[in-house]
Amino acid sequence: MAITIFLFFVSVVLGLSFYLGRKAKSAKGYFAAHGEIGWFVNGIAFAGDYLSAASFLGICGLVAFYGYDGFLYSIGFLAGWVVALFVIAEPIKRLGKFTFADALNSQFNSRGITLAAAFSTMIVSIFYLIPQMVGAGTLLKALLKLPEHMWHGIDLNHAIGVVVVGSVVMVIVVTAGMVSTTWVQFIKGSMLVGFCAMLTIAILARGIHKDVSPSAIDASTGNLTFIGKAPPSVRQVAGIGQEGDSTGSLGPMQFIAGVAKSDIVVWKKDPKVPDHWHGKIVKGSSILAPGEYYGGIRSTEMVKKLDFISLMLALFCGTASLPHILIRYYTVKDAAAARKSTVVGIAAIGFFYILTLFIGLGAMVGGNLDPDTNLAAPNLAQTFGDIPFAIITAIAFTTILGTVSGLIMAASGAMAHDLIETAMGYEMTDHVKVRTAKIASLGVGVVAIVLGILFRTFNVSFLVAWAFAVAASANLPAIVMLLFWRHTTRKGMIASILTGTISSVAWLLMTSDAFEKVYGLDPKKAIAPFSNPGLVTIPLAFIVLVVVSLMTENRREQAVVMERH
Amino acid sequence: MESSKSGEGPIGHSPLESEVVKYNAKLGMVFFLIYLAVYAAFVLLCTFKLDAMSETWDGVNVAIWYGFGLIAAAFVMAAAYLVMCKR
Repeated sequence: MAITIFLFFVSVVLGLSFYLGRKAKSAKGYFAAHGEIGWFVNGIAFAGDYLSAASFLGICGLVAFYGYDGFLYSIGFLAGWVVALFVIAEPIKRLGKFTFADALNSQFNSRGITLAAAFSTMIVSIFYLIPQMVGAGTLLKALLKLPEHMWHGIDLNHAIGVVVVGSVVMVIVVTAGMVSTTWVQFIKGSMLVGFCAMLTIAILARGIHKDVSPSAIDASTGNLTFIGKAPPSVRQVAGIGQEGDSTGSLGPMQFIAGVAKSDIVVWKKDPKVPDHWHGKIVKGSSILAPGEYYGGIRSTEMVKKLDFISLMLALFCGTASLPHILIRYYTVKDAAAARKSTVVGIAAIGFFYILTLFIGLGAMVGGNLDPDTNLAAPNLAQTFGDIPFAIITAIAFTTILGTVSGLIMAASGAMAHDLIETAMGYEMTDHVKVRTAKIASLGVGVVAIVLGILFRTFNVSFLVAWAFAVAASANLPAIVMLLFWRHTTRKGMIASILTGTISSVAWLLMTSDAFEKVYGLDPKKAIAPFSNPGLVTIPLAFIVLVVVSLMTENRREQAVVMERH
Repeated sequence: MESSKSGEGPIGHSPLESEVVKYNAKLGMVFFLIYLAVYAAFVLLCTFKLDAMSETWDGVNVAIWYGFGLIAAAFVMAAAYLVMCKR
């Protein structure tokens, strides 16, 4: 049943893609949807594009496991839209035609800027693609109820899911382009927000129930122990304050207050004794305060607090810097329509992010939490039956299809339009340009599949925050200074984009998370002092832009420009 | 759209020349700075005054109320911007 519903959803999405794709014949149609998508559709498509596997699976997972610190991602992801709307949206609509690099290059007509922007677009797109592919593999594995099947450090069952989604998306992108991608995002956005609202209502109607088995508690010591492959849920409710064993249905704020009053059992596997789990009771009020995951917040040492500050800065600056979001500004007819689109998008996204807190907490107390943080929302849906589980898995999969197709479009556009035609000076007809982009899409898709297999143990929101840091470091200084500082030069922009991209990626590759989960090395030997590079690499890129611009300013031309204005 | 042929030197700001665009840009900047102040205060409170964020009102802590407030404020400001922008 679950697989049937799932296949139905995917078939509908693919069918829509083929049907609408027949309209996208020209390069303009392929890349920017003929500039004619209505603002409301585009606004919901913004939401569909933005609410990726990270938002849905990752944040709900982080909230389910760590409480408030997962909600920090919701706050930061949404706050970034403020930068996008108030600072970037209107001016950038007037600057470009097809891609982010066009916008940056509108004043200089420079191959160097085009090359640098194409490079950053590809890197950011790949970093953003990794969590989507990780999420895809996890979802399909859960849907098909496949166990872990390791081969030389690779979970083959997870890898199959990654290959399937990568292949499906490449079919969509190669056949259809931006038009159907926009409609896929619109449908995805509508379904995601609508179903999550229904799931939240079900969570509130059910309330909170005590679900720790009395046999797990040692009467003499009070210690909690579970002996077996895994407890029924890695988070359980040991008590609900004065409420007894069950609260009954609750209103939204009553539900949060109920979790705050609860005692939550956190189960951890014994590293030395097989099939042994130890439970620790954590107060709900502590889980709902900042610092359960970002423990540095609760430390008195300033250095330990920096990771949190860096995360919030990267999230705030990252949204406006994402190439696959920026390209969507060009799919409406004018700046006013772009503004309206963004407002509609913010409304849908903001509402969804409020729901993620309830879905995550519902998963925490739902009694069915798997150790994989990315499966919290599907696990929760399963407690309401196989049909909700199938629907939510299908919606999440469609979510991934939509986001991945948008990202591959951005990366392939960077290659075909920016890199080959503009930077290398190789002129192409529209037909050849579209074909080149499709070939580029295949290459990017293959890279994404490989990396999605290698990064499978990461929480997907965590990976997206990394992508945000790279985007904010690479793109934001260049966009902002181009729009607001007269002395910005071509070389300043190139230096800034390259510095931001390379420094942020280098930092990420030196973090304790990369050491432990990618290289298999001792995380204590990691070079980067904290995980998210935003606090260092974003200001660094700004400083490089200013310094290089001042060093390369042509005063004779500046006088001419100022006189003209 | 004019562009600098030599590629060096400062850029002109021709996209922002018209009165409407300048007004909208200034309005956007005001809204942005207000939101930035509220967001920065949230980050600083979480970093340095965690006890204050753990205080509760109606059973829910300040951190959660503040988070909801930031999400709602983004939408309210966006809607206000849409209404106040000149076309």
